[in-house]
Amino acid sequence: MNLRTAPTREFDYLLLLSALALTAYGALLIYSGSLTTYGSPSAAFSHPVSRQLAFAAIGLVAMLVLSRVDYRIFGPLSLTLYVVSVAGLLFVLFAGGSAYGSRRWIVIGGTQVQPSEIAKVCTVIMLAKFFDDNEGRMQSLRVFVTSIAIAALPAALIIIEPDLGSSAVFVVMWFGMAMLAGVRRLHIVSLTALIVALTPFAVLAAAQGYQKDRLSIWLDPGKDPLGTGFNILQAEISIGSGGLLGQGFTRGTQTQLDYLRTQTTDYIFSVGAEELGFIGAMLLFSLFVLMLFRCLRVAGHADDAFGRLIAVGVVTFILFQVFVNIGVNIRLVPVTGVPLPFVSQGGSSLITLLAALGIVQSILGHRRKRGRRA
Amino acid sequence: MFGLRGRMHARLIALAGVFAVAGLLLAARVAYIQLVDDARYKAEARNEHYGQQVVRAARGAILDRNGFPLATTVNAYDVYINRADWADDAAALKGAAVIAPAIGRQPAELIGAVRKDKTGLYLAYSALDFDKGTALQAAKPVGLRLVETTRRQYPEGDLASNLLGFVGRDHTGLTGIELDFDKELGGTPGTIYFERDSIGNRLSLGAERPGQKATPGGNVRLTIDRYIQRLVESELDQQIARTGALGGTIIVMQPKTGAVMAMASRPGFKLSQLDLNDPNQALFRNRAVTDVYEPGSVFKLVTAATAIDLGVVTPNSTYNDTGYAQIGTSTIRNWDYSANGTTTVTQILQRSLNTGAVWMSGLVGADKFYASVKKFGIGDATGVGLSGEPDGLVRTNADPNWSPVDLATNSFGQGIAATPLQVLTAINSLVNGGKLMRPYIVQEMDTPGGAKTFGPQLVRQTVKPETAAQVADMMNQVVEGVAGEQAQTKGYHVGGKTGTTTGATLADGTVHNGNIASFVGFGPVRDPQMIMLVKLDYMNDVLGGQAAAPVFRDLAPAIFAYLGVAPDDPSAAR
Repeated sequence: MNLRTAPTREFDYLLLLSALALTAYGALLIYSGSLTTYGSPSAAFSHPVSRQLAFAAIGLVAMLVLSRVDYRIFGPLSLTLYVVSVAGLLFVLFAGGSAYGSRRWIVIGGTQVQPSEIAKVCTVIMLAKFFDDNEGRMQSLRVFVTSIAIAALPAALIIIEPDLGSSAVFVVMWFGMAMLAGVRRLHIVSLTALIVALTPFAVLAAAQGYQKDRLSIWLDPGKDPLGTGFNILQAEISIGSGGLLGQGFTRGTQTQLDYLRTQTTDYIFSVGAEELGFIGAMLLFSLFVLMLFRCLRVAGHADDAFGRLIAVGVVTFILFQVFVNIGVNIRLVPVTGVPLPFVSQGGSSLITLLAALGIVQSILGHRRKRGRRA
Repeated sequence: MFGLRGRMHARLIALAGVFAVAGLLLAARVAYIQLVDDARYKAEARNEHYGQQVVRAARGAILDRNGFPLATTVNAYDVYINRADWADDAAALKGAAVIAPAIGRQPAELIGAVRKDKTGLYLAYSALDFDKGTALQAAKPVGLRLVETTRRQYPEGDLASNLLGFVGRDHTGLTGIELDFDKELGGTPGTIYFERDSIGNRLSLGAERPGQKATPGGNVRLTIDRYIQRLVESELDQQIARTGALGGTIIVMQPKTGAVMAMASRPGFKLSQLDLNDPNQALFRNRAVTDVYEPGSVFKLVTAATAIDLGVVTPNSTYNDTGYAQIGTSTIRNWDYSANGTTTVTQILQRSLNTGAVWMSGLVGADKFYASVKKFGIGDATGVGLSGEPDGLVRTNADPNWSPVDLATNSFGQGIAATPLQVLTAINSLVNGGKLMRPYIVQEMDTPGGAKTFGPQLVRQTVKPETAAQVADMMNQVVEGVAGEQAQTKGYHVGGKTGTTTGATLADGTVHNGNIASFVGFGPVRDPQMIMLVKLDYMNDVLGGQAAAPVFRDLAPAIFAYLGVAPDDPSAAR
């Protein structure tokens, strides 16, 4: 410890820029998407944009604070955070509020909080800590299985809500981190084979209730254009009618005539694609690509496996959500309610994301100067 | 150490590669939807966002022969009241105080009706006059919503109601000319597209774009002359009132062309008091064209013309009238039970002797008689172009139920069912040199392909021109050769023939045992310019000569004067 030198205090402004730009992009689309329900922005604090900006401010403060805190303190805290977040998920199942048939949030101090958002970050930290602790035993099956269990517990609790999309986030997040940690290839291949083998049964099991309808409607939304297929069709029409340049901000007919539903959350991508066109969609893509590269850069520069794993875990769950959310909008993925990170309306998600980026900044800023290894 | 770091980097790059593939997949699909397939999606969005509304085409006018409108379409307003604006009592009272008087309603009653209305937009008045609507608009009363519409207007009032017919609330023709020429008058409705939200509500300030443009309907110009029509209707009404008739029909025609200059029937309906819910639908018929009757003694003209044309008699041929004719077990007598001894054909018509008609039909024979009747168009619709025209009914000797008595009764117009228009058309051939003209009532109509005109149409020659001239002359002697004949017309030499049968038609369209008094007359004899049929239905026994002939006598000079026909005796015409 006597070799320890002062932290670099590096701060990645491009990473901050990508997050701020995405948040601003989201605020604009939330404004446009709320016009039909909130005629003018004069409704002040209750207006979705004001609320979103307030959440962004809170998130930014959290990001700056966390970027100043050495991420290593999360090592000893990881188990506590993990246990608390799992408890939150349990609490939601028994006392949560529900919307569209699933229980997803609890109310804390008059605000709806989605424990699943917080659980994502906490699980990333828990997994990073676990892989870091077992860096020398990565070939062990016990380590492999235990890491699966860490991710599977919150995923299972979220599946019960039910929220298939969010629980898939945990699975993918685990895959990304396990790959990076260097688990045995045989284990990964076996697990993949097992999943592939089990898929038909999973589909059969899912082939009852709402998942079945979702699958068949996803394949052919025209089957029920005014019912379950409505949102899918309308999203596709919105995106398509945007064309190259879009119909203009707040001029999208699909959005402004209320054809798009949940247009500030699940289908916010369609609003942007309709009003800002292909150009607008590609701008959004670029911002996420920028965020990806800045996070991977942090992972590459990280001092230790713990930091590297956190950075990769965070960017994996962010980008997987991007993939699922946009995939649903363009009918590449079956309908599931995953928010578009930074862009969709919703405080828990935004604050958690910005806070997670604060931890990523901390990984960059708390590297020890070269002197240690030299 | 370096190796471990190298492996880390390789894994990071692999991870980035997975993200890149996923990102490219998303980008490719977005590009496909937005750049390749965008036209299809744009069209789908448009189809969803725009509702369709039918725009009624302006309906064409019905004009008289000189172009005066009989039915036309004017702009008007439907008056709606927005219930929400009247939720407040003070506002409702204020609004009702202005609106109610303008639409002839009581304020309190109007407020009640508006509040009971479930739609939220209460139709308080349909088709308010354009001027009244604009005045109401200017007063800006609370809750008023005016919607532009059109209204069928009748500049000549109730004139020719049954001929013109009427339109329904949607402005499609339901009866009469309005129905028969609905395609021409109605035009082609257009469409406008309006923006609507996801549950189909029209956006109040939404965009509108025109679709198919409405093609206005064309005008239909009749052969009817509004002046003659008015004369005829007023005389018909007066005679019905004077004599207590159930109803009647008058048709005025131009002999040389078959153009109908006036056509009126009673009972009928008034356009100004149209009640579509009237259970008595029979009142909507144009009885001159749709209803049949027994022509009676008027038909003796056809019998006489047939006999003369075949050369079996001349106007001066005689027979011995014993007062009855025996056909098998049936005895046929004259209407007045007279026996006149030696009688000429002209006298048969003057005195309207049934036995004489039976005598002539016997000379002609059944085969030739019915062949001639058919040539006169009796038993076939005239083809005037109006709907609901029946063929009428003539039982010929080809019918298994026919008996020789039928020939005898048919010879004086009984046992034959014909419409007033058929009878007039048939007799007209006798004052028109034997030329049977197809009657027509529409002379011109605008169609999308341009104006279409209709002119005189010769159907066939009924009898030789000389025969026709002889019969026309006898018709003149019927009127002028008998002292006190009711049809004698001041200033003009005219001709005519009365008819009396039973089987009057009641208002509800059923047939009653009362008398039908009829008269067919024409003039002036030297060059016929007008032929008229008058038919009046009674509950009791009234003769054609008493009731129908005077109508002709009163109408004919006025019509001649209007048509500019110089009087034969100028001093008497005054």
